[in-house]
Amino acid sequence: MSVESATRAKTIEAGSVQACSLSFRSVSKRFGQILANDSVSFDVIGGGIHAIVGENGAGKSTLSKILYGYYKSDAGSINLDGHQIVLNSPFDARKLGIGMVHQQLALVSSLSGFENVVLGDPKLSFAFSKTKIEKQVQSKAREFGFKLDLSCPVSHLGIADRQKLEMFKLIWRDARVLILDEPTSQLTPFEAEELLSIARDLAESGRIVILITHHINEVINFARHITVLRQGRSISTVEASSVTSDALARLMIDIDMDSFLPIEGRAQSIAEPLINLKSVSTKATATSHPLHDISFGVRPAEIVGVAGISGSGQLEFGRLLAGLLEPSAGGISGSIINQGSEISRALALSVCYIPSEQNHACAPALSVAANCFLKSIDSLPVHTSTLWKLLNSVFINSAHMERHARAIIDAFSITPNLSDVPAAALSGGNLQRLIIGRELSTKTSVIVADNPCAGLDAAMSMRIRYELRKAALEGRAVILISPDLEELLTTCDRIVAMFNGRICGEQIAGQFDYQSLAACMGGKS
Amino acid sequence: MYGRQVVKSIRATQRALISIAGSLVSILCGLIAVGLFLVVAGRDPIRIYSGIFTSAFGDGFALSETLVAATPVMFCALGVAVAARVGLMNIGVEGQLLAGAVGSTFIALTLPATMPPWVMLSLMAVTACVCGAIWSAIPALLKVRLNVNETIVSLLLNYVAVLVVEFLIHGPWQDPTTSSWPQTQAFPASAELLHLPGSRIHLGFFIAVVIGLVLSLVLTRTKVGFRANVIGQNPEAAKYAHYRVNRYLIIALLVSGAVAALAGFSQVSAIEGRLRSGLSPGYGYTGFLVAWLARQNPLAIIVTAVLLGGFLSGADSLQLSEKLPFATVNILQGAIFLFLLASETSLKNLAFKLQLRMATNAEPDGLALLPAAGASEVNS
Repeated sequence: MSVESATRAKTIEAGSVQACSLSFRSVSKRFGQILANDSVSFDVIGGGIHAIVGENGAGKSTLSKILYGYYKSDAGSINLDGHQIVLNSPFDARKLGIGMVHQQLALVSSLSGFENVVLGDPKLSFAFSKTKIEKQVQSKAREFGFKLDLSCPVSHLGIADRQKLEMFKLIWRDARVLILDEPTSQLTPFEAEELLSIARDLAESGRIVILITHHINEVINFARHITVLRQGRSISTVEASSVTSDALARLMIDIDMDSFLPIEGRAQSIAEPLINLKSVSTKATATSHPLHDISFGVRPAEIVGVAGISGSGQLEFGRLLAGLLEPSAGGISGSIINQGSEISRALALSVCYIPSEQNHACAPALSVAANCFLKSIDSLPVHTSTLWKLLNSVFINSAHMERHARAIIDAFSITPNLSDVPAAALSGGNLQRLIIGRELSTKTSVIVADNPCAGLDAAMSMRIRYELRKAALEGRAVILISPDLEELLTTCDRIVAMFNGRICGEQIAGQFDYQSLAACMGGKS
Repeated sequence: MYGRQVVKSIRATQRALISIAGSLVSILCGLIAVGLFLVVAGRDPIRIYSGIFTSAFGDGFALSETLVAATPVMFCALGVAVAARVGLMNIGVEGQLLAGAVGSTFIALTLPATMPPWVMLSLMAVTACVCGAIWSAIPALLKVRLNVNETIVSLLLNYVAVLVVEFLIHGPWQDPTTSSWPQTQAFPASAELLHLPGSRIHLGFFIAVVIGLVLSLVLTRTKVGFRANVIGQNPEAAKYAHYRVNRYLIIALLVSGAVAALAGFSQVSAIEGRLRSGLSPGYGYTGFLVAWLARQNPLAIIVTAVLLGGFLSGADSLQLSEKLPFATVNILQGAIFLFLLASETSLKNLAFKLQLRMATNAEPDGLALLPAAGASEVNS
């Protein structure tokens, strides 16, 4: 037995509690006309992480919020340790030892980690010895393997440490059932691994750990049992060791996936680069990180992935390519840039950019149609009459705008299927489809997509990647920026990794190596 | 397709109705709140309000006085609306009005009195616009170059404009014949704007209405208006779409200042016949309120300006009949504005909820919250 696994065993032993059991019996929940949970029944099996997977809208969040007392189910029951439990509010759930780590973390960033842990702790008396309690908290954190600096303000902690702090908060309050809602969505691969192995230890020590996610691979690696939800129904509960990621994806989305499989063995493009950056640097500003010495070329008909944890400069890299950021040093050339023309203008005309921040790309108060039309305002259907052309160069042709919007709404199945509602009425996923549909419809020769699948369900993510690959097959160049290495590995012809504003690694399809790319993303090359 | 169109127009009507209701409720709340103060002060608010109403809309003369008061308010409100379209708060219309008045006065006093009226008047109007635009160029450039808040700058420039006018009428431009009065010489007849026979209603009112109609067309139907709207709603999105955001911000403020300056031109030319102290009893601020009550919609501004113009002209006679200070109307306007601001958020929520419900009822299978429909036909 290695030292590491020995400590792990010790940790598990130290924090052991009496194993408990949890089961859902025909739980249903309806919102208006949507049946979010349709008699969901399954047993949560202890002794390992129990994952609940499903695409967006499959009912994962609703189910977990019912368990946490946020929502009251319309029918069915939840049994904890064999007794039916009644949850009227999260307060009831906490009393029963059920705790939840939300996607949006609920920490006070100006307080220290310790203060956040004890904040609102009902066990503490009105006056208490801070040093004594702090010692208790520290030792409990060590006991459970949380490597955390509890004395510094939470605002100084990274996102991974904040996640861990939230989890530890639940342990401190003796939670027996932990619900983790998409805990790894903002973490690097290594951070995610660390967090999930702590969660696994907690589960193996007798607690129930419910992991809600749509990352298929982390489920297979870390969970023991997996329940698949689809359209509000529990489809099946399987053992993680007996299922492949492909089979799991099929269970989740129930569509023919063969058409989405990666395009293997495509020849490397040898055409002249459309855009060629030579030792480009940008300056840091209040809102942007600097880029250092970026040399990068992109050719027609290839998809280049840009990997990196959030804040490594990939946002600025995308903006640079889209002509929204001026380089402070270095040169930009390429076949899309004519000699003597203004570079940012040339980039603006031939690069379409899908920003990672949705609210930078749309005007929520304007109609869906207006948002679809935003970039095509100067496009016109062909017509011969001079007068007609003149009128249309000044006035908005609302029929044309409507047609344009309709095409995007239909092609990307945006719901509700209406063009005159404000864009704010769309859900996040639908808004993202609108933005992507609009950008792809501009037919520019380069596409820069910054994390376009964030917040989209598995099926729509595949659909987006499929669209991007189709664009590449048509001869357009695609730059796909994503923190999800998995996504890049299955989509791209070439991947560069960024760290601290530099490109620190490059690999081409066929020679992809997950481990070394992940190391590059963490700054080790 | 036909059904969709009907649903669409119902939704549009509904949105408009919600906005109108919000403005009317704000006015009503303002009247009630000020009414309570009047009761405490021992006055009868019903009598006072009905007094305002009859002296504003009671007879032909009252109505004409209302339209006269509404004219500068309308110009100012339209100016505010142009800037608001790109998301800028130009509260400096009061100062731009005065700048326009100064520009017009300069022409009227400088050019020979024998000029043909149409030359004189067009030059006065153009100079007014240029002066107003210069006055609003200051906040515009500061905004674009240094990101200084345009609301504060334009507001402070109002006080500067008042002082500039005071300086001119106490100093270089003071009428030498009546040296004790802070005012300029009377303008020559050629500098007087045309009146409707037998009333004080002047050409300025009709110019304001035409500008309102043109602005409505430009803002809602043209590409320029579309871009301006996107910039106003989300400048980031406009930048991503490579609109020339800064250019739009500057031009919008310049046009805003120029339109507001026409208020100054029409006041000195048609009503006062000279530049004098106290030219504007806060037409700019009333215009700001009007623009907000009308949700920056130029057509709605035309109507709302007449309504608030009624308040102003009604209050004039109130001073005489009820011995109430003119400030009563300012208090009333302030109260309405407060309620209007308070109603903004709740209105937005209400409209949003209603719209969602309409969308759900009209097309039961098109819900915003529905899981990805049509995912299975993705690849067909």
